[in-house]
Amino acid sequence: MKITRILATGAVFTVAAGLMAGCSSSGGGEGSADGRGPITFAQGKDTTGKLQSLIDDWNADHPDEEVKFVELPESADEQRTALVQDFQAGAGTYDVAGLDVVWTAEFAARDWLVPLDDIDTDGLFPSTVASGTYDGTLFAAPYNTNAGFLYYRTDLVDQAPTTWAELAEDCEIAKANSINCYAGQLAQYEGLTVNFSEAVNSAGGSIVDSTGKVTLDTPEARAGLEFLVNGFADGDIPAEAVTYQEEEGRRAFQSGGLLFLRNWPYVYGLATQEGGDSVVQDKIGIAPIPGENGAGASTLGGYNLAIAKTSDHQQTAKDFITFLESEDAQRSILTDLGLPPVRSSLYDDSELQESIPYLATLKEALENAVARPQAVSYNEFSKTISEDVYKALQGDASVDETLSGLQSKLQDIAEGS
Amino acid sequence: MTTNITDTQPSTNGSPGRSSKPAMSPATPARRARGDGRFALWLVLPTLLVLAAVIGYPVLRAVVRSLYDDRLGRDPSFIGLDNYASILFGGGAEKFWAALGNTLFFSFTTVVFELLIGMTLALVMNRAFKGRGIVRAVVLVPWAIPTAVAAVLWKWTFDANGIVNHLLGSQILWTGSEWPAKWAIVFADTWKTAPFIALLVLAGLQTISQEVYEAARVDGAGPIRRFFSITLPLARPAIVVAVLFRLLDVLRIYDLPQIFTNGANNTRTLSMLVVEESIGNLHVGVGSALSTLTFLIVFIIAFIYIRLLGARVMSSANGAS
Repeated sequence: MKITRILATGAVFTVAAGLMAGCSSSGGGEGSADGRGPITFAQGKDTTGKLQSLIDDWNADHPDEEVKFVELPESADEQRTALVQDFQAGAGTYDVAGLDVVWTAEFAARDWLVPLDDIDTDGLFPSTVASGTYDGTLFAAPYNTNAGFLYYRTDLVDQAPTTWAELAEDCEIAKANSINCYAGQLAQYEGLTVNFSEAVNSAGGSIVDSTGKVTLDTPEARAGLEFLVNGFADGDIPAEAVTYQEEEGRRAFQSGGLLFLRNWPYVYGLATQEGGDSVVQDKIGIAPIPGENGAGASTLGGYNLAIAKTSDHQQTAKDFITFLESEDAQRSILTDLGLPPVRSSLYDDSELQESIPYLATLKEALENAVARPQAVSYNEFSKTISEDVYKALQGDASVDETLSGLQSKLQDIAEGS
Repeated sequence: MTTNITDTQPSTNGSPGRSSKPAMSPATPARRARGDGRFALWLVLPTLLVLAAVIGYPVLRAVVRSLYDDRLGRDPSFIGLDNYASILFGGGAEKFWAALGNTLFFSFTTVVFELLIGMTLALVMNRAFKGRGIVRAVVLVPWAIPTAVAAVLWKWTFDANGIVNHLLGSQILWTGSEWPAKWAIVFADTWKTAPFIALLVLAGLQTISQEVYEAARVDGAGPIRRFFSITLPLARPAIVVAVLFRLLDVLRIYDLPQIFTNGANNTRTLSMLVVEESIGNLHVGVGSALSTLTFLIVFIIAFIYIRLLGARVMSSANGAS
C-alpha cells in the first residue's frame, strides 16, 4: 500500500514536471511585416451572415491572399478571452482581429499589435480614429462605430430636450401622464461606465485627460455624476433603472412606460417595427443626447481592426483592412450588416438617409462622440467605475465621496499598469 | 475537486479489507496480496497519469504561478507570498473578505434549505401512492435545467416588473439592492438543487427495510419516533454524502450570481473574484493565488465537515480498524 502510494505520487510529479517544462518553452516568434499570403480574420459572431459575402468579394480578387473568417462568440467578454488567450500564448492563429474600441490600449501595451501608421484614416470620424490610437500611434483601424441616442415620445413632447435642464422640465409632462421620465443603462456593468462617462463628457469634463491623468476631481465630473444621482433623488429616473441594461430599458420604453430613453441605434428598428410588441411604434423620435449646456457627447461604441504581431502576412492584412475601410465595403457594412460605418461621407448620402431614417442624427451624435478612456487595465478601470457609481446612484455614497474615491483608485490603476 | 474527494473514498473503504486478509491466513495469500497490489497499480496507472495531467498539473501550476507577479510587458518575477498578502491584508482584502462572506452565506443558507426541502421531497417520494413515478420525474425537472438557463429564467421572474412583484403586490428591486438580491439567489439555487438532495436521500431511504418499521410499530413507536430513531440514523450516510456534494458545489457558486446580478449589490462570490482577476483583469498571479485560497478554503470546510458530521459514517465503513 505504501509503495503504491509513493509510486503514484512519483508518477504524478514526473508527469507534472514534464508538462511544466514543455509549457514554459512556448511563445511565438515575430511575424513578417511585408509578407503576403492567406490570412485569418477573427471577429465576433456575424448574425446577418453577410460579412462572409464581403470577404468572398476580396477572395475573388486575391486568389493568393485568401481571407479565412473565424467567428468568435457573440459576447464581447468571450471574444476578448479568446483573443487574449491566443495572443498571450503567441499562437498566431489570427492575423487580423476585430477589437472592441476599449481594448486598444490593453492589447497595444502588451505588445501584441502591429502599428498601423500607413493605414489611411482620411474621411473617417476623428473620434473613431482616436479610439484605435494608443500613445499617439494607430494600433487598431476603425471598422464600425456606434453612438447613443435620446429616444423620446413624439406624442408627448414636441421637441427633444437639448440640455439637462430642459430634460428635467419635460419630466413634468411624464409626471402628468403618470409614466417615468428618463432611463439609460444604469445596472452595475459596462453599460454604467458608458452612461457615466457620457454624463461627464456631456458636462464638458473627462475621465482621463490627454496626458493620462484621471480628472474626476473637477466641477465638470461632479456635474455629470449629479445629473444621474439627482435624477434618482428627484424621481426623474425611476428607482428600478438601477436594474436596467439595454433590453430592460428598451422594454420599458416600448411598453409606453418611459418618456425618454438613452440607448443605441438598434432600438430604433425594434421599437418602430410594425406588429412588434411596441405600443409606441409610430410615436418615436430620436435626437442626440442632451448635455449640461447644449448637445451632449455620446460615448463611442464599435469595433476596430488590428493586426497580430505574430502574423506572417502583415502586408496582406493591411491591404485587407484598407479594403474593409473603402467606401464600398463600408456601405455594405451599413446596408447588409446593419452596423454604423466609420466613413463620414456615407452619412450624407441622400439615398441611404432615406432608407435609414436615423442616419442624420447618428452623424450628429458621432461628430460629438468621445471614446471611452484609454486605459491599459481597462477592465479593472471600468469595473471600478461601475461599482462606485452604482453605489452613488443607490444613495449609499455621496457624490463627493464617490468622485474622490474614484479619482485616487483610478489613478492607482492607471499608474500601476 | 469532487473527483479528489470521491477518489479517497474507495481507498479508505478498500484498505481495511486488504489489511485484514493477511491476519487471517498465513504466508502465500500475503504474497499474493502484494502481487495483486502491484498488478492493481499497473491497472490504475493510466488513470493516475491522466489525473495527474488534467488535475495535478493545473493545480500545481496555479500554485507556482501564484508566487509570481503580473507586471506588464516583461516576464513575471518571483515575489514569494506577496500576492497572498495583498489579497488577505492589502489592497484586495476588502473584496476578498466580502466575497468569502458571501460564499459562506450562500453555502450555509442554501444547504440548510435544500436539505430540509430535499428531505421532505424524498420522504414523499418514498411512499407508495398513485402517480409516484410522475412526481419523481417532475421533481427532477429543475435539476435537469442548466444553471445558466435557470439563472436567466429567475432573473426575469425577479424583474422589477416581473411575476414575483406582481404576485406579492410589491415593488422590490430584487436585483437592485443587497438583501433582496441575496435571498433571490438563495431561492433560485434552492429551487434548482433541492431535487439533487432529494434524489440522493431517496436512494438512502430505499435501502431501509420495511421490516424495521414494522417491528418499531409493533413496539408502539409513533411516526415521529420512527422518523428520528429509524429513518434519520439509517439514512444518515446518504444525507452526509448528499450534503458534502452540495457543499463542495455551492462553495464554487458562480453562474447564478454572475448572471443574476453580475456581482452587484455585494453578491460577488470567490469564484467570481477568481474569474474577474485572472481573465477579466489579466492578473494571472493574483488570480492563481485566489484560486489556491479558494481550493484551501473548500478543502478545510470539507475536512471539518467530514470530521464533525461524517465521522461515524466513515468509521463505520472502516470497521474495526
